[in-house]
Amino acid sequence: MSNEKLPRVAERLFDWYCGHAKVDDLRGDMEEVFHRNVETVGYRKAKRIYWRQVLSLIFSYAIRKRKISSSNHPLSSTSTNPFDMLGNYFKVGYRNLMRHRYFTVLNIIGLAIGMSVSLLIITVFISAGNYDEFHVNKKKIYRVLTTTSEKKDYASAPAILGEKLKEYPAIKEVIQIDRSLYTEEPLPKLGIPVFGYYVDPTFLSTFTFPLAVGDAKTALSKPNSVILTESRAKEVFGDVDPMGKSISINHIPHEVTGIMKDYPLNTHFQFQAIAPYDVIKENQLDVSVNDQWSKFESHYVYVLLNEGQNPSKLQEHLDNIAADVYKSNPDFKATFELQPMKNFTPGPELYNDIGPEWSYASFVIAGGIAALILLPACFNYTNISIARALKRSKEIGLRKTLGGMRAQIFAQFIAETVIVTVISLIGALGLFFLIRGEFQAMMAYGGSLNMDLTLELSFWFLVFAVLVGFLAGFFPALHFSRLNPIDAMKNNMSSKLFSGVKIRKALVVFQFALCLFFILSMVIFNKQYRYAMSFDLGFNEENILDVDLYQVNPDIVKNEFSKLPFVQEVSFSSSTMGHGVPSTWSKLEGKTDSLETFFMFVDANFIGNMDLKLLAGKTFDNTDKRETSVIINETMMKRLAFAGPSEALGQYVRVDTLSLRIIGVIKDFHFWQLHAPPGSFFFRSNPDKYHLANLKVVTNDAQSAMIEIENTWKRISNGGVFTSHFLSDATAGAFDNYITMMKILGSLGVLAVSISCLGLLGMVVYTAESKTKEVGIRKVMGASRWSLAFLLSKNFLKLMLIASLFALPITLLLDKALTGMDHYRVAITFLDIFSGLLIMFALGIATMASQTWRTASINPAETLKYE
Amino acid sequence: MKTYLGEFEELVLLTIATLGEEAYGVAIKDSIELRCDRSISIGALHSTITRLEEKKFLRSWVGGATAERGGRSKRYYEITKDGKAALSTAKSLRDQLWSEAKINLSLQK
Repeated sequence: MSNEKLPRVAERLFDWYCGHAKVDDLRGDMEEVFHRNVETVGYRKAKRIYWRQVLSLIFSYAIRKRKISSSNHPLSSTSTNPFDMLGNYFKVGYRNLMRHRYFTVLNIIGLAIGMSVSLLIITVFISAGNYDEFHVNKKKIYRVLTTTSEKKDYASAPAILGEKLKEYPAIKEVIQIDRSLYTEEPLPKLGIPVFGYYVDPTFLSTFTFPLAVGDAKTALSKPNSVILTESRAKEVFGDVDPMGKSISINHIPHEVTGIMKDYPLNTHFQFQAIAPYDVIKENQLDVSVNDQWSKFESHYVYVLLNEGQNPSKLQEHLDNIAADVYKSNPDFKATFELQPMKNFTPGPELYNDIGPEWSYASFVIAGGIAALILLPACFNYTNISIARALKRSKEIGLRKTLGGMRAQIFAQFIAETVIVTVISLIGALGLFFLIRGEFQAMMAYGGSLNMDLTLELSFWFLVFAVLVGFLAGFFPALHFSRLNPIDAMKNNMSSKLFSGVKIRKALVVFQFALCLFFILSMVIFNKQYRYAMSFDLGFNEENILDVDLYQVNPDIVKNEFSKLPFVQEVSFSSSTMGHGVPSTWSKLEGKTDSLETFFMFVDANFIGNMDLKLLAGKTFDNTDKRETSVIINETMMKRLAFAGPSEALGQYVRVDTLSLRIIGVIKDFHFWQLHAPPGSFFFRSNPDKYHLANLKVVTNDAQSAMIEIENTWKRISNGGVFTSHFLSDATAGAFDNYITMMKILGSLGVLAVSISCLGLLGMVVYTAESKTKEVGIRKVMGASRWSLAFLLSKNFLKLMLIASLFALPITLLLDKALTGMDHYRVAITFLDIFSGLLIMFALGIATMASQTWRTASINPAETLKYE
Repeated sequence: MKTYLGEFEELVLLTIATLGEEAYGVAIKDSIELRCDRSISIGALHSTITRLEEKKFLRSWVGGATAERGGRSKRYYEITKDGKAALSTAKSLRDQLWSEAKINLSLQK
């Protein structure tokens, strides 16, 4: 090897040109050739060749490419480890967050609150997606949906379609399901309702519902057999072995031939018993089973495809069937659609669900609500970050001057936000655990959801936190990465900084409008709830205890209960007063116009017991064992065009095959809830139809009275189940939806208000911080604390006022919407709105005062010395 | 995938193949110059190598340094599966054209 030196200028030129690009190997190659050339062709020529090589490389694609790949990478650096820079972002981000602890804590609390609701929705979505996972055949199971020409989608399908599909070769099994199995009288123990499905025997081999006792192959092959779930069988039969015992379903005795292991709750099926499908056919239990293509209320068709079969072929077949069958029917058209089991939940919105359904539509609504809570929290972060840009501009200017690319600055700020959101996730999880139980209890089928924190769920939570980081950090990152380094270093950013002011103001207004909306709707609901609770329904609901009769003879019940000293009165009725009643069609004898009439079966004492007012006539005669008479209400009297109560008496009303004499007219009362005024109604009297004994209990010791009543009942019914409720409790229970609504609105309101206040706090702290000097000077010039505190908060007060202007019309709209829900409404007054406003302003001013007052109180000598 | 190979690209690929484990910049250049009896510029060679790497016909790794290179490391190259496929496509095209040539391409009289 020669000892000659490489041409220095060429070497320098090459190094300068290549910069950070990795060209070590090329330098080595050239040096190797150079030393060889020195020995073979001499130093001068070798130098010339070296120069030529340097130039040829400088102009070559190879170097250009290496330079590009070395410099344009956001993670690039001169070091060999590409993650160093990312590590640096996190380190700088961490230091920054630690230095501004106050804002960090504000942001983390705000984001944690904002994210908590979203975590709930994510959990429900993931959990709903894991429904029916336990079915071994899940991938091959489909169900047939029916879409009618009115564009309604049903989960159910005509029974005859199932029969027709059984001939199709690609299908291994057709499973017909009918959900009309329901009984209240499963002996030996009364009062435990059993509901379930009539199914084809293939149900057990298709779906994975293993039996604890009995043979799955033969259990449903007997004509009147039934399989109960383990827990329900225990409730009905106790410790007695239920196998071979008989229970009555829809008045037909069924023999228990199997006990099913309790199945996981996260399935779209919900049943406690299954019985063979043939029972319906033989007993004509369901109209839809008669060969009809237009009736399919409670009937479902599932299919199990053979291995490797393409469902699109079957879909074509279904299309052909629909086209063929409905061709000749001018009144009714429908199409069928095959839905794979994995799309059941979450799935499209369907009518006639067989069990729990989690429709996309409901997730969109829930997601929208979650976003209403989450977005303001993100806004807060964005707001505070951009507002504080001034403090960080020097850092960014320096980074840019030292070669930081736009993408790198962007990545840095996103990384910083992601740190915040991931920490917030921990707080959000805490809240999540706190509200999970309540949330689950409030939701229909909530119990069937698995809301445990699984590994899968944790993963999605983390993904969500990172996404929120991107969302909240996007605008600050964009803002910072766009800064001009010269302006940033010179602190000459006034123009840039104030470009965001309008957006920030709009965000604050939006937040407070949202808060106000929640607060006012709470006020409205609360008022309506109180109004409904104290509404005079037109009958006495105090001290009335309803006891379920089951099959016990009413006469005995009355005898025995009347003996108790604290029972003043006993009457009988077919349903709970004021809680939904059946309807029928009736008309005046000799007239043709039918009237939809609601009714209850009651005995003679009922009217007195409930303090109902007879306008004319008398009550029923208890000695009458046949149904001969009715007592109509005022509304019905008017609809039947009688001038007065006395005119109606003695007239006859036709109901089905009966001709009933009007023996009384009763003052209108609210036999259903307040969503509409009372309609036409009559009381009928038929001892066979009584379900409840209404006991008027007057006592000072309700507890011992209840025990005595229960003991009496046990004696009468030979140890049957005792079910009772006070009428006033039932009435209050009817307003549960108000309570649920208020709970939801209340918790959302609390979340929204906290987030807004945190955001406001952040903004006020920032304003106060950046104006300390101004405040100091003003104070020296003689300004009072009060005027200074006002000066600092007046802009925010203005924004809150604007927010009120936006929120009020929206709330009035909500009020209008509620009118549709309830006929009897209490009007919202100026006072209600005023109290809502007062709450919000009080919260807002308290938040601001905590900071502005402090700033205004600082000794000006300190603030002015500060710089 | 487009597997078009230029004449020089093919030459470089085949040379790297002949060099086996010793295929680094200088060796490739020397080998081509020796066989073809023509002088090639280092810039052109590395541009071609870069393009072949972009097409995923080559992969490279940094190997040991020697004193004669001023202590600088060598970058070794190796043909990838895609590279082999491209070469064989080029070869079969050529073979086909040879076999179907309408005139006698043999140089012997």
